[in-house]
Amino acid sequence: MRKKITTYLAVAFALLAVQNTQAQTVVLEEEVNAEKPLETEPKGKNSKFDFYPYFGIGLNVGEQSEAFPHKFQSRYFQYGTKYKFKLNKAQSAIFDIRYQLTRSIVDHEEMGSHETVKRVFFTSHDVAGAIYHRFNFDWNRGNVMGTYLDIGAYFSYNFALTYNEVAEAGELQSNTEYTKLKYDTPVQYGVEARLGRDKWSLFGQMRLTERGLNKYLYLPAFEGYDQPNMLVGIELGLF
Amino acid sequence: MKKLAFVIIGAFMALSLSAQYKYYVYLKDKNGVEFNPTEYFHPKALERRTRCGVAINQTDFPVSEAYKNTVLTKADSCTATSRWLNMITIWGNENLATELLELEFVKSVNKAPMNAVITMATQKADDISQEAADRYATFQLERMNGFAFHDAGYTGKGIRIAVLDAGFSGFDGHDGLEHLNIEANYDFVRKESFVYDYSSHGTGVTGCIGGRMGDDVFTGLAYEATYLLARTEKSKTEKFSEEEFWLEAAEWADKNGADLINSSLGYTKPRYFIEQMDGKTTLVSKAAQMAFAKGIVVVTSAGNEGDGDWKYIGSPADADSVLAIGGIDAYKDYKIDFSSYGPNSRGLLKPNVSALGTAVSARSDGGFGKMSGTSFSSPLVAGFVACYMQANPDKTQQDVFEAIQQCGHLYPYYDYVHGYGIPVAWKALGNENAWPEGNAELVTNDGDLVLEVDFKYFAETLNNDSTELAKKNIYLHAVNEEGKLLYYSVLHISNPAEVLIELDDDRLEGAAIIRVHFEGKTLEYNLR
Repeated sequence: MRKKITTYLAVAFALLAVQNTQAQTVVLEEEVNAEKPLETEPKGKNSKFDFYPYFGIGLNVGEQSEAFPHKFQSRYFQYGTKYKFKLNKAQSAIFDIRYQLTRSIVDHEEMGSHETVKRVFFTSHDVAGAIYHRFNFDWNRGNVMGTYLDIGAYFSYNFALTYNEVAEAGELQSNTEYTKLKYDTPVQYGVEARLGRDKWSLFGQMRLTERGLNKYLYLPAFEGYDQPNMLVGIELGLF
Repeated sequence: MKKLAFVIIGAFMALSLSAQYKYYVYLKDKNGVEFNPTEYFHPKALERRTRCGVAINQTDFPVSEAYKNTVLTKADSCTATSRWLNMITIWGNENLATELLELEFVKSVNKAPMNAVITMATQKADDISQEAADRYATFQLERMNGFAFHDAGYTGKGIRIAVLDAGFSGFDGHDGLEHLNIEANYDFVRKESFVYDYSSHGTGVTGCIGGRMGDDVFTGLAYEATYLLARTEKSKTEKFSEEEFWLEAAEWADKNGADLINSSLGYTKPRYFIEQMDGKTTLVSKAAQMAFAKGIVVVTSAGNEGDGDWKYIGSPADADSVLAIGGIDAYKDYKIDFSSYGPNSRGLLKPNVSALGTAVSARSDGGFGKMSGTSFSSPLVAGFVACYMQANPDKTQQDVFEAIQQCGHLYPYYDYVHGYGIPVAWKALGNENAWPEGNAELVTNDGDLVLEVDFKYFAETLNNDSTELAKKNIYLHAVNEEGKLLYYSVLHISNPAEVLIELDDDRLEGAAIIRVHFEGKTLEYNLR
């Protein structure tokens, strides 16, 4: 019965709408608040809630374990979305959800007697969440302008890890890839800080856990290997 | 490792603390400065001031060199100097700002906005056949009844127009622009006398003021005006100095005797917030207001944010005495999608008038193309204003400002997207059409509030053709007792025999007057 009434009402409304359209078609209309004619867009100011996507790139830096004296290079990429909740004019809570890709490479020259292995590298894919406390130095421009400092903590979950070993012996070359690997502890955590101005920010991240990658490295040269737990980089907000 | 973390965070903070900022340093006076106006100003500038009753005063004197040098001994560098605002822009850190405030001749030190802004969102010039270009170019001027000016002998001759833009690439040697009398040009970005590079935006804009395609087809009305070309913009990604360059260029235009400035540029986010579009906050609005105070009519584009997040006009379109120009769709004959909405944040009517939002004009490759943006609406009106000024040589800048609004095809109707509509030359030349009488009454129709409009000429004009009527725009607005708009709309009616406009009670709350405009006639109904 209720369905039937709803149908009748919908038909009646449609008929009325058609009649109105025939009589008068409004092609443009605006209502104006005479007292405050211009509205402030939600993202203009330091609004109560705001979110924006961003991406960042970075490098692992810092000392390696003494047991592993070789240098290495790493590249880091992240893409995520930050959610801001204003606490007061000068402070906000930020929630950050992101995807992280890290690739760490060790070259042959650093690998001692294992001459056939030119380089090895790990590629890890993680999802991460973070929470920070944001101090807005230009509090009235907190969303898209001004300077701010974030201090907080993150955790990440490793959902894919690969290990590649590139070897050369004379004219023969090989690239051996090991997939479906896992960290010793897939969930990692640490602290991070960020100094931002407008769309740009510099970030530093310190991992407080060990990844336990050396279990995959049978070469004696890798004994004691783990990536340095300091990461620095730059982020760009995409507004 | 923890030590390293602290070092990095500390380094970030140190970088922040030692950051360089740009400041506007306003000075208190110009004591000790000697100035000879007849040597400094072009005779046309003095002539304009006499006509407009603008006396030479302290704001015309140059900034004190002694003060400037004292400031520069403490600052890292100076990027601009303004005699109008008695201001120097410098780079320095926050401590320097405090130090400068201790100087007895420094009035205030304000931090300059330093964010990049993207404006000039004009589309790429579309290719168009010669025949279509001729037809459209003629239409863009005919829509303003512009050829009535030409027929009366008004082509902008004797009027000096300064064009402030991002560059004039392809201008030099362009067939459609070579007839223009260019008296001076200056690049305020690179500080040199060469503007024919970097961006072709100014080329298209100038073409809409006074360009032509061959002998018989014009793209702008003021083809015999005298031009001053200034580059004030780094195109596309605009850095933070453009407003200073704009100010310097306006002062240069004043010095060189400009009667009219066209600026198809605007500043919005993230540099500013919408509330700051009050005509008094931004440097470029202050500069535009000052130009007007010196007797110069300033015409600027309303902006292309109408369908974007920002939505509203930018600056300097927000300035009270600037003629802000909205864009109209050539085919629909009402607001083109991208044209920015008004008013300014103090509720002042903006845009003031409109012109077509798409225009045919000169391209950098030597040809012509169809270009979209209020960047091109503004110069169409600038050409109109130049002809009006030639026809009315004794009018002051204030007279011109008001007259152009009254020339709007919708006048006295107005709204915040069309202003007073497209200025039309027959009004400027005093050839007022004699519209038949009409009447508007509020009635109730089955309990609904309806505005019954008796346009006696509906039937005559349209021969009772309902198809024709359905294509015509009817403009309706409701204003309160202070004259502030509460509601406005554009609508189509399909029955010429009985024009009844349905009204929404909620939208009429607080309204004192309803006006309805159709084809040149505005009817008014007083609700009080």
